Amino acid sequence: MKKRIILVVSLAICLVMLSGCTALPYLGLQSMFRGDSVRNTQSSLPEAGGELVTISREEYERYQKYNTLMEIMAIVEENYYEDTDEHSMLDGAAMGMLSAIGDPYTFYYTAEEYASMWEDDEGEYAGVGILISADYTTGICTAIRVFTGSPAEKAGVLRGDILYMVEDMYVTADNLNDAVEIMRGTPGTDVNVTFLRNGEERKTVMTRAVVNVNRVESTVLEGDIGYIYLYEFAGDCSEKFAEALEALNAKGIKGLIIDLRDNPGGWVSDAESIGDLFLDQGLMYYTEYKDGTKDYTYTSDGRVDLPLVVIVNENSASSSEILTGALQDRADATVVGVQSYGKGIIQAVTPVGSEGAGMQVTIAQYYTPNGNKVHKIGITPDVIAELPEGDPGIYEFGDLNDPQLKKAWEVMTEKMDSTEIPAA
Amino acid sequence: MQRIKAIFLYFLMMTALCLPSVGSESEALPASGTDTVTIPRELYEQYRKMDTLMEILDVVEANYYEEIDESSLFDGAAAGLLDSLGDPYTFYYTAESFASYMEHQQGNYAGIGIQISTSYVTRTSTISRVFAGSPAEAAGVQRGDVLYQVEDLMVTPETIQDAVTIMRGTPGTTVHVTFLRGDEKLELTVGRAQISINRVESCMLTSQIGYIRLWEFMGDCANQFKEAYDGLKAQGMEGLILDLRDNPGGLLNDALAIGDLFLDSGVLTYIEYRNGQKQYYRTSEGAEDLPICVIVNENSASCSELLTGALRDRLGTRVVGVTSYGKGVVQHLLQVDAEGAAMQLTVAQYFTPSGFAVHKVGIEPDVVIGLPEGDNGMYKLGDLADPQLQAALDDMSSTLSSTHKKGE
Repeated sequence: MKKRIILVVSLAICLVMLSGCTALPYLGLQSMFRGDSVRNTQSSLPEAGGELVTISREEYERYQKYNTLMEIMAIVEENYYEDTDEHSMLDGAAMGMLSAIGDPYTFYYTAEEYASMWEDDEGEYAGVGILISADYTTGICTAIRVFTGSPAEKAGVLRGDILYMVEDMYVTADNLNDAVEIMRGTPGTDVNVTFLRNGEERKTVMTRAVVNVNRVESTVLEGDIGYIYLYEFAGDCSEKFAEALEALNAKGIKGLIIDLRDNPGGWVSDAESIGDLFLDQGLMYYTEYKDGTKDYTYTSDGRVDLPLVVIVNENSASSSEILTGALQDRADATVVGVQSYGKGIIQAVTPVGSEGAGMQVTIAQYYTPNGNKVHKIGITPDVIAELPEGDPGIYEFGDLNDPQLKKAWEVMTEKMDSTEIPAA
Repeated sequence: MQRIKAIFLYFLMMTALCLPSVGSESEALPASGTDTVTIPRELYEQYRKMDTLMEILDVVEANYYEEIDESSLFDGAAAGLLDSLGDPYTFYYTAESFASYMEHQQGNYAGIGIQISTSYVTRTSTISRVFAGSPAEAAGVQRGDVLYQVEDLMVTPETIQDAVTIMRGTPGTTVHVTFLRGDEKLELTVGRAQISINRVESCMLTSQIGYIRLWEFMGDCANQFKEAYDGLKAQGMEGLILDLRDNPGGLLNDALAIGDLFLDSGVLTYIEYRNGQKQYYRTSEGAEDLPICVIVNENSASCSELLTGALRDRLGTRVVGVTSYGKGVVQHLLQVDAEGAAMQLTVAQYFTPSGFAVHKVGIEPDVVIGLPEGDNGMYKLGDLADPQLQAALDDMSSTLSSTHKKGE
């Protein structure tokens, strides 16, 4: 069973623009929840007719907890100085309830947001063509990818620019979703977006357009070393990854560098498929729930036998870290770069209510096959390679001037040499 | 009073609103059996609206990876419900935050001794007052400094309440607070101490002209005002400059009591509810007869505007300064559960006696005078280097001389 666990948007990635044609089949997510979590509202239909309703005492007692909320809502409806909308108040209550948990990855989706979230994963619509990462500690939202040919690229937006203002709204991690919503819209219409670069405000007017997002890029580097950059675990990325790998193999590569820098994660099932390419039967990762029970996820037999180097940075998170951890523990992959983000918790997404709303909730922590905890720790590289001070890390794809890629290439060259020695 | 709520005016009506019947345990009708409960269909339909929330709570309780505190989730839901109205003056108090609010009302608390004004527009929290003798004053905090960070918490309009909670605490302990002053970042360690707030300060500016600065309509400010006023009268005051700059408002009853001092019987203000119903607040007979000049600025709000509007409409009081904040809505404060949680809710708009709506407009002064660029208005009480105060004094002097001429 393909689990619908998602390591969604670990860094609150919001895809301003996505395309990709493979629709992820939407399965009922309740099936993956543990215990009898979801209340069956059908069980308590009242007897029809009359001014009175008889319900079970159990149900009645459950409702008692909601008296204060109902009272508040009734007071507002009766007394507020402007007209009120019950639906939006209930949405607000749901948002408030989940945000009270204090976990940035647990939150509510209104029906509109929930629909748009699924659209992000599979659909095609118009935006400005940037991928944004939000830091929940500082509140700062940074453009981590500017898609080729996008309005943002034409407007001169660079990776690393801080998203400062969208129309009249100052952007923080808290309202990033709203900001993204504003940036999307009808192709041909304009949106005013202000970025900060080195503390300087840069005002842009971008014309929304349909942008194609490719999540996988690949090439052969000097010395028959294959190089695949995986930007995100979403859409049809695992198929695209497998295709890229096949194409590189056909060109006779002798080693593979997988670049997961700035990859915020995504669907864990994609990480599983990609990991499976390089791993025989065995443990890929395991999750641990609140009650201490564990769930193990395994890879199956059949693998591509290549020396591996994985590049990570401080923005490589969740699914990136699952994949890196598994390859490091089991495929002798050498991890190059800097300590990864450390998002070692897993969320589930489920619809709630009957009107299309949804929620995301953190349900477990995960561990690498060797039992290493990732949450708030990250994956420790085998070879540390930092960007020099002042280097924003903006390089053309496959450019060996990029110090981290250069280091990975050196490590791979050495690795290929040493694997060849015993054979000689 | 680090409590911010910079801008408010409400009536304290803890329980006065009629609550629609939403079923407390005692309202349950006799059960038709031990395992069932029979309730009115209307109530049942209200309950059904809670089903989605109930489902969310179930999902969280069964699946969230750490232990959760159910009561804080209900607090969050209530806060979120009120936030959804998008009105900065409508919000929820947890039992704890309400207790701390009530403590503030008394005027005594342990903290660092600053008053903060938060702007939802610029999203900054500015120090509007540093209390005399407070730890903040000793640490060199100045009026106009921007509150930037409290311990690890970045201060925003959303986090200001939490920031305030952190700054309060046991006397003798310290707290790390970062302020911005111009381009400078000041990281200070400030002690906590028992703070007592005086809301009224007064002095004579000249032999004839008295000056009262009213910081807030709260606590026993009306009595303090009367005392200050009597004191100035005893010193020969013939004209009063009433300074309401940076006064965020407070309780209507205090505005009424202070207005009553100067106004004969008549309307002080009236408020209008969503359904068009009006309610009038009147002053009673008997009034002090001396010219008043009011100073307002962009932070004079709510009760300050209400009082200024009433004095101007009914006495022709001159107003000096810059256009006031423009908060013309009225809140009720009421307790919502037995544990002490409460809510503040915008219920009406208010109007000056002549029917002027202050909301989002503010009161425009007769003599418009702002502070020069770079002047943060940090003047000592009665310092005539303060250009707005000087302008008010000039205005009052000419009023007095023309009155005297008339008298001659």
